[in-house]
Amino acid sequence: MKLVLVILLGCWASSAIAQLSVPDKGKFTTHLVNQEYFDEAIHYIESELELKPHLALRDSFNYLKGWSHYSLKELGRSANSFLQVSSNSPFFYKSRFFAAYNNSHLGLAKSSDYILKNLVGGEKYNALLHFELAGNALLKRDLNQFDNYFSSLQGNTGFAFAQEKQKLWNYATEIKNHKKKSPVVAGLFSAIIPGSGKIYAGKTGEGIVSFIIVGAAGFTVLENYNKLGLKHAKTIVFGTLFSVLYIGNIYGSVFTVKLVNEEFNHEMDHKILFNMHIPLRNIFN
Amino acid sequence: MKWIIKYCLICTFLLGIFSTRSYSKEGIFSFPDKLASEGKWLEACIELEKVIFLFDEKEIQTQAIIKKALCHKHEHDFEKVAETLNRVYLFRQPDSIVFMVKYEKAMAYYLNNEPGKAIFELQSLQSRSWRKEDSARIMLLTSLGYLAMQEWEESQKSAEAFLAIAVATPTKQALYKAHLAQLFSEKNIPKQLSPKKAKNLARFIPGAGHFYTGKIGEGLMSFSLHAGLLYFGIDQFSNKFYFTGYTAGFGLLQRLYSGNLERVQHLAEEVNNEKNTQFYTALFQFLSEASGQMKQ
Repeated sequence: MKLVLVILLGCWASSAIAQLSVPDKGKFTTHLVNQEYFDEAIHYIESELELKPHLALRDSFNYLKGWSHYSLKELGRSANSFLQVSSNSPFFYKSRFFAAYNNSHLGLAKSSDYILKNLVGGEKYNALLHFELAGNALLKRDLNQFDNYFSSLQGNTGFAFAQEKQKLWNYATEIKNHKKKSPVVAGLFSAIIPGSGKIYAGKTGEGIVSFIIVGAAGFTVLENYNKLGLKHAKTIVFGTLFSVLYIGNIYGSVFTVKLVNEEFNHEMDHKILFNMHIPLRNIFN
Repeated sequence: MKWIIKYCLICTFLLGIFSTRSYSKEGIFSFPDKLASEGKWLEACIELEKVIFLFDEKEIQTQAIIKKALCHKHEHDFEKVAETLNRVYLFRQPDSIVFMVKYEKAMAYYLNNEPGKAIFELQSLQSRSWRKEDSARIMLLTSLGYLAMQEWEESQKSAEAFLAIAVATPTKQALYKAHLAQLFSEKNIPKQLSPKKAKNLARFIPGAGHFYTGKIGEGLMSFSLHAGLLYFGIDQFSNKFYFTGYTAGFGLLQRLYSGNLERVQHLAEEVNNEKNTQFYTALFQFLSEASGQMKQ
């Protein structure tokens, strides 16, 4: 009997070695995140969440999990974890704003809007809310919506992000003034004068090179045609090569315009997102 | 009944202890070790980090860090191995710990293609005296580190020092040293081709750069293509096909010529890599065989 009890006691004690008290669980997870052991933090939190801890600890876990995913640039997972944080948590507003930002970064500006618009009782963060919504409107290229949100920001931000507000306004002006290039026009230009489509797209160097190459090929065909006639093998070979170059150049011009438009949008999105991020870090950190 | 009451009292007492931050130091690593033995490296790392977090004793922390680093080693994450070992505070640590940490760090750097850092760690170990087996391991890794840095002379010296420790019998030692000297003879040491020289040769005679790197067939083909295009260009000019000569002859020739210059540089680097790998393999096999002598 004595022996059985001692063995039982031993087993119980050894299993307790691996256990942490509730406050220590939170502190340990924070330690993992602070040490930048994000994989370990995520794994630990997931195993602890399976044990269904009480709400306060669950909120801290979800917040830290969201933060770990965010640090690992896993923005979708980060947003999901942040959204699990309940309104009772002191991390609630930070989690919601970062969840919204993550969605904006993933190109889900509408989901981001939904999260931000459903934030209740956060009057303290009203200016930030409108700023983020204005940023989302710009990401969607909805300039009317941007104007609405931006006008409600006037005189509302203080010094917290006055610089970022100005920058957002500048980006909006840049988007308004930007004339989108047409792929059809570029194709037509290149069909008339090889390379001019690329110059129209803003790639002057590429356009000049294309003009020289296609032009030289064209003159070669012309030379062979004049001296040897249309049916001569050399004329046919160079004619075929010229046709490939000519059509390829038209396609290249269309593609270049699409690329240039995408480059502009991508650069703008990057600038807007960066600008949306600064107040979040300044206010919540 | 008396025993049941006693049991309940002990349980209540222990519950009080374990629900706070007091934990038994006995068998502290049994759970992480069990996880590691099951190949659950991430879980083992978390448990070891828990130990580091909970215990302030330097000795326990050091042991946990080393164990954690070894878990990362099993995962082949050598960067993390070195990072983790860097957390060990080596001041006033026992020699066995100093050796373990520095050697494992050197190994991690070597396996992470950072031989310079590995040599730096090993050099700090060489200034002290260690057990015979440990000294042999240091010299072996130093030789391989220098080999990766293409410092043949230093690599040979370290390999000789390794043989002096690892091979006990003088006759066998002489035999191994002779073999090593042969391996490091001028004939066997990979001569490094200069990509710049290959490019300059190809600049003057297309195909010559290929000859320099030993690619005769490709060199002949390159020379023929250049000659063919040059002939075509001149022929077209002489027949008053100026545009054809300029575009199809000299235009293509210029493209081929500049592409050829890039190609020979790449070839020279490729040949160097091939030669080095062959040499590393031969030396690695030899040193592995010699380290087998130490076990005997």
